[in-house]
Amino acid sequence: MQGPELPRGSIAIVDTSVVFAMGGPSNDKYQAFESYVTRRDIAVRIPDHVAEELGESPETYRYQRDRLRSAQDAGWLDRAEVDFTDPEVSDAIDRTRERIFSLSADDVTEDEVETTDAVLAGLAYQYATDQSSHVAVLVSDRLAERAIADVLATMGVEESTVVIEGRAFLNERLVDEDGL
Amino acid sequence: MSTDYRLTDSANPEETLSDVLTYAELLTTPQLARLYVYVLRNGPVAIERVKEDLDVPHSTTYKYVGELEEMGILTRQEDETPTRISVEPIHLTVDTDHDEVVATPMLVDAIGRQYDDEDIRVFVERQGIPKLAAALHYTLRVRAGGMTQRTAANKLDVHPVEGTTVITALQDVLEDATAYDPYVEP
Repeated sequence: MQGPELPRGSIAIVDTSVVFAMGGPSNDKYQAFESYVTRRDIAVRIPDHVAEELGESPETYRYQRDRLRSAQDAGWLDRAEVDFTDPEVSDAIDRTRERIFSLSADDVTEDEVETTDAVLAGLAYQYATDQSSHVAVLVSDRLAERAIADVLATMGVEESTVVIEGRAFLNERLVDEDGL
Repeated sequence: MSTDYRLTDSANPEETLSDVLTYAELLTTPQLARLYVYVLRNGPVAIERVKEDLDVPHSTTYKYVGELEEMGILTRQEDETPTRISVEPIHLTVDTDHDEVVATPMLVDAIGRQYDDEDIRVFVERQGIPKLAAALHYTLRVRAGGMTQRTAANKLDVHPVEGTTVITALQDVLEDATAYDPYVEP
């Protein structure tokens, strides 16, 4: 099944798990994604929160930081600042966090739900309203995907936003490349 | 094993403990794990082909084939030339106080991938095999939509980047497992 295509000139917000699933610059998935976003002039963004989380990771995982760095150096990925002073943006974040908690299994406590997951929804809302561009959020777990999509719909930006399962999206890009 | 657990798979204690030992051997010998999963995926397969495809020395290949045979999970098709081998999918359910933990060929595959997969190798070096088994358990729960990857990292008590890294690698293991592991739902 073919998933949605991202419109030319749009914004794609990616979570770390999707960046990890690409692998490094020598990996086919990384190259296919890079070529897709470059060709379509798509701005790829990662929230500051997510980048900071990566910066604080154990030194052993430096190779994951390097992967992000290569995408930044190549010019197709940038960090994005989430405007927490905008009440609508912080509302989107709070609602997403609550939604994630309510969709989680019974043995998940509120403390175990990370705000970083919800920040992705806040940034999507911010871009969709400020820059009136089409925004895609790429995540790689079903629960975050559903929670973010629910909140963006409740807040009235479902027309200009889409939440996509990142791993499937990467696999489709590989198929695209093979077909070229 | 000192934790309080109950094995539910078999009523026969000898058989059950023999399963536990089989698992222990497979889970602590990555090269044996790799060979087991290869035969599970490709069997019945000629021993020579196993040796060539996995690039394992002749003596090691026969040693591992012998070990799997002793464990009672490998069959030889002697009436054929060359002899072809196949293995059974193994299955162990452990009921803990919190949750039911299931060990199936998919876990053996994750162990065997340490040679080829940097993410899994780094995780096992830092956290050990029991934590990898727990990570696979939570990967299944993330897949079922019961929690996000970051929540799973909290449950595992590892940094979110470490958790996301291993879960991303295990998602590949899980997707491949739907083709050969009868205990994984497609």
